[in-house]
Amino acid sequence: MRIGVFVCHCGTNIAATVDSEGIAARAGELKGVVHTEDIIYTCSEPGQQAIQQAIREKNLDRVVVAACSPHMHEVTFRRTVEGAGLNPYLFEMANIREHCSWIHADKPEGSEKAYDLIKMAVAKVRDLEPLYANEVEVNKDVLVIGGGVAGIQTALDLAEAGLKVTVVEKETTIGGTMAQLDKTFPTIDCSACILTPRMVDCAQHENIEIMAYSEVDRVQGYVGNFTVDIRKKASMVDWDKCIGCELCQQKCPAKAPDAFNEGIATTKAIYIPFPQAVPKRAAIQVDYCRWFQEGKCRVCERVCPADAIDYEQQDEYMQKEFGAIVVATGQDVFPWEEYYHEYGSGRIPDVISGLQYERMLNASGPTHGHVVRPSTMGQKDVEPEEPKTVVFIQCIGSRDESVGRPYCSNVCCMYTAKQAILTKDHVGMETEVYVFYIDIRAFGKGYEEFVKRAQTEFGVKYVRGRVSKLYEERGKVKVRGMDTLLGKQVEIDADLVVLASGITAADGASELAQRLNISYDQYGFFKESHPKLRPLETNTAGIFLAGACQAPKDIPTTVAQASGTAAKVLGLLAKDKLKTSPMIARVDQSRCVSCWKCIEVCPFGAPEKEELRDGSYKSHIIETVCQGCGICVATCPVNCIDLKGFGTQSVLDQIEEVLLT
Amino acid sequence: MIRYNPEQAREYREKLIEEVQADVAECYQCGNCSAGCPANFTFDYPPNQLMRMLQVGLVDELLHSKSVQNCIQCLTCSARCPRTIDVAGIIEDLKTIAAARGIAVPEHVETFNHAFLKNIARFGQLNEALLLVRFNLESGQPFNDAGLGMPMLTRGKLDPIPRRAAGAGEVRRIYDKAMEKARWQA
Amino acid sequence: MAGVAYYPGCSLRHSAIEFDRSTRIVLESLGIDYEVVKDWTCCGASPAHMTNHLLAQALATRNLRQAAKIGEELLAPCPACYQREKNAEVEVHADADFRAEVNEIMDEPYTGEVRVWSLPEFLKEKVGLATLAKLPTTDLSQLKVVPYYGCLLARPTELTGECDTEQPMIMDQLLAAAGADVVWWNYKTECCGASVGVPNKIIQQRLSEKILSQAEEAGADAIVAACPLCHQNLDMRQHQLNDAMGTSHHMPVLYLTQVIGLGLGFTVKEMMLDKHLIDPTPVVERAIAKAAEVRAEAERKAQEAAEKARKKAERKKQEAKAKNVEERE
Repeated sequence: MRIGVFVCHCGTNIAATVDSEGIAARAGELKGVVHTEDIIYTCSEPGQQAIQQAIREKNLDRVVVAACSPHMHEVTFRRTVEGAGLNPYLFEMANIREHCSWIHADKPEGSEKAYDLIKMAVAKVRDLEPLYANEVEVNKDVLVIGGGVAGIQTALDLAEAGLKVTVVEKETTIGGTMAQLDKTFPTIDCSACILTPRMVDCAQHENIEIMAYSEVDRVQGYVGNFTVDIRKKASMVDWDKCIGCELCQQKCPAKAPDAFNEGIATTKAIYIPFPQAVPKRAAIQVDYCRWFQEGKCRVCERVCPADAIDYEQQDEYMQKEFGAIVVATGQDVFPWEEYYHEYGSGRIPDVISGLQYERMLNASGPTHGHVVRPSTMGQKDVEPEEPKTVVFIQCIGSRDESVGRPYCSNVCCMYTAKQAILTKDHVGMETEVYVFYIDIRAFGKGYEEFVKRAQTEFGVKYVRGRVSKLYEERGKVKVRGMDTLLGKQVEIDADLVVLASGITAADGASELAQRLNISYDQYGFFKESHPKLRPLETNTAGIFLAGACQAPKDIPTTVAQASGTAAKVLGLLAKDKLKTSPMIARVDQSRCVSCWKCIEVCPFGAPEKEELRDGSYKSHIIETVCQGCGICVATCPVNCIDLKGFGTQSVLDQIEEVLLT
Repeated sequence: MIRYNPEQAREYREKLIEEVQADVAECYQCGNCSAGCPANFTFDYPPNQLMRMLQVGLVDELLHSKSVQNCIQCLTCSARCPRTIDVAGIIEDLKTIAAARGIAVPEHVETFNHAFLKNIARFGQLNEALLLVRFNLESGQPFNDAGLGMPMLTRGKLDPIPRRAAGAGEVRRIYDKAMEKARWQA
Repeated sequence: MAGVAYYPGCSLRHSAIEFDRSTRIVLESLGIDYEVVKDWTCCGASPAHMTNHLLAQALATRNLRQAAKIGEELLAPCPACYQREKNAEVEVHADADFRAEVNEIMDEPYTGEVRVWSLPEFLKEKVGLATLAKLPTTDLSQLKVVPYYGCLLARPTELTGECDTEQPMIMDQLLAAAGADVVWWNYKTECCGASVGVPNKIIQQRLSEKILSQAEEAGADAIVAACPLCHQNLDMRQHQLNDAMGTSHHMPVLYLTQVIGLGLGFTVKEMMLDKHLIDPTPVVERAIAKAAEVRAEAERKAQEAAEKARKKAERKKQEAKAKNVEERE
């Protein structure tokens, strides 16, 4: 055995509290060690070259690097070692930085501990055997879950690159939240105008299949080879026949809640969400349909010119295979009515959320773009009234620990500025518009200038302070707020109050995450692999993230991220075969007692029952699925499973080394 | 131009964390407390400015403020603070510090509190008639609430005869001991 | 041990005697055993806790000690007394060192573990809404009331046991169980001014006036309160407030237990409605009369409908008979 030990200084990160030079020299005493060296920055080019040179000159067959965490540079050094012709798995890192120099202040003590860590690494490296990565065939099809702007962008990028993409969308149409918006900041582009062409591209692209009104029920398999169960929900309309003429919706007598219009209008039990829907097909909300609830009506069936209504329709189940999955399931709006009771719990008609206001501003919305006081809507012989004073309140369900949302929702300052400008535009410049804020976050390109426009060109009055209470008095909504810059309480009589409700995780996000086996945080947002360096992948190989499902973000960032995600997927699927890590579990079948506890505990489905030639069944680890977590190793009651590159014996040897020598 | 007082800031921040479990460093000056404060219009500094003064150590000024005296402890600020800071608890603590130091603030609240405590120390249970009389005299408002006297008397809602409750002696002793201790600690 | 220890507090003796009386009548009527705390003294209310923490906790703990001689539970109808006693209970039970500090300045130490109840919580838990709902004999369904919790029955939720600081529900539920028409409003927990009504009237008047306005805006016949100080500010000081602010409110304020008592069949006299400065009697009597009218009207309509149905059935019988005759022929 010819072991080389390289101890890093990491500038003063390690060397300030650990005597790198000294312990490198001492390491020469350890059994099998034929070369020791201390390096200022081992990960740098000269550092890596030094290791390679030592391997070649001293004929090293094992390498230990004592430096930072393997999370940082294990991959780097494995490559270094491989570059000098050594099997990359005959390498071990001792973490003498995060585990030692960064947490101790006494140099002699720190150095002693570092030396112990090196001893353990050397003991382990003696036990290592060369390992060879496996290769697995890769399916080149991609599943995109979610058809909002993120999903659409990713799908188009992938389709253009020649991959086949399936977009699964839970609503009857793609488009997501962006389809609900009126205009977008900072350009005041019409949202539907810039989105719908993309939606149509998706529908027409030969490489994209849109499965609308569908959900992912189950995901099995592993990177490059996912098997997904998709359920197409019963819309009670045959979409092969439906032509989207909307006659059924016109004639249907039953009113139903209109989710697309955020509840400020009603739709019918049979509905098409909006005229530019893609696909433009009808669906029946069974809970509100008279046929399903009372056994009467069936008017839609009578009037449909394409004979498309099918009350007997059932959910359809299908299974498809994909190489990669992109999760782009988007977001929901914070349900302020359930938390902000000081604002009326949703019972004051003239207090609405930002997205509801957006639907009102939208020319194809229920008021055709007229801004009116909701308290004057829907009344006979009463003309809906335009508001003279509109108050916006920011940070609703954001930056608020008292409702369990301490984070900032990213977009509200900007969308409020936009809505304030649009208010002045729709109702008139003499309308009094106030925005209550704590801070203004206008970080993007053109954003600060946009807010300035609101304040100067459009005369929107920004008030620094929160609003403590909203209540109705003599037909007005009294806004009791604070102007912290003046140091005075202020009360405004508003005709309309818009609450800039923040972003929350989409409904059902955590359940989907569990089905996909990806992590999510306490708010339901999916966890990226690393917030700075790997924001587009999850810790589950082959599953990627795009858009607001990862964290609240605006449209430019979403689109950029979505394209980035597409690039990541292309990188994964560009090869025909995938290399998988060889540090996985292995069963000693001669000792396996077929208790199948390993199958029970494995979160990835790696162990399987393999039939041997003698007819007996023993556990076998599917090499390409196993992630090397070690749960089966710990669970096996007869200890017949071991982890390659992390064997039980090597752990015991490390313990012995540090305690007994 | 003012100067901050980092020593007082540090001292009071730690004191309040320990006694009230509230950390003034968490306040991001959103103004919600001030917006909802029903007594704000009689304050010299609105509640969010009180928090700011604590953050930068302007404590002596605070203790002499009308705000600390006039707070009615309705707890609205604490209930609505988005960072769940017990603002009312902080102000209550400041009240007790001001009282212990005998800081004279020209607000009738302190006069009222003092008259009340003297009353129960004497009678064990509050004698409202005497309280009103004493307070009116000490605050120089002899006819305060005079119009309520008759209606209350005729409805049997006022007991003009002062009576000492059985536990009055103990209340007196508790009061004396607690105030002694407070003076000693101030 | 005779049931729960009852702590009236200073206000319930005289200035809020109708609250005390109606509460006791309701408790007795609902079969709750109670005994007044012997030699109770003032809890200290606001002046104590605004002057010195130890003083406030000691004054309150003294009463816990006295209550422990009766049993393990204490009911304090006045929310201020409730908060003071509850506050003492929580701190003294959790912190042995502090209990020792408090015991040092009392004549006799407190060694018990008394649990303190507020009135609404007590009624809800000990009697139960379902039980209460079965008992009313007077129909209050035409009496529109808005429940006013004030500050101390809603905040903080850790002490009050309410579900939410802005929309607490226990009083709403009790009033609904008593049969009253509980109207939704957005001013349940806005401060009335509390004890500042004596030293700084202008604060109290502004705040109380708003509450009266909002109650009128909601269309209420009366406000229901469960705090003697809120009641004092809204009822006793209503004329004063009208004079000072140039308003002309006439909104009666009833106590929670008065409404429950009326529902249970007690008279206006027994519930001491005459003690109020704004007399609620006309509003209550009107509501009861209207309820009787509404019931009579409903009965009449039901009789009409029954008559119609009978006639229809009769007609159908005749038609069937005629058809039978036809077919036979």
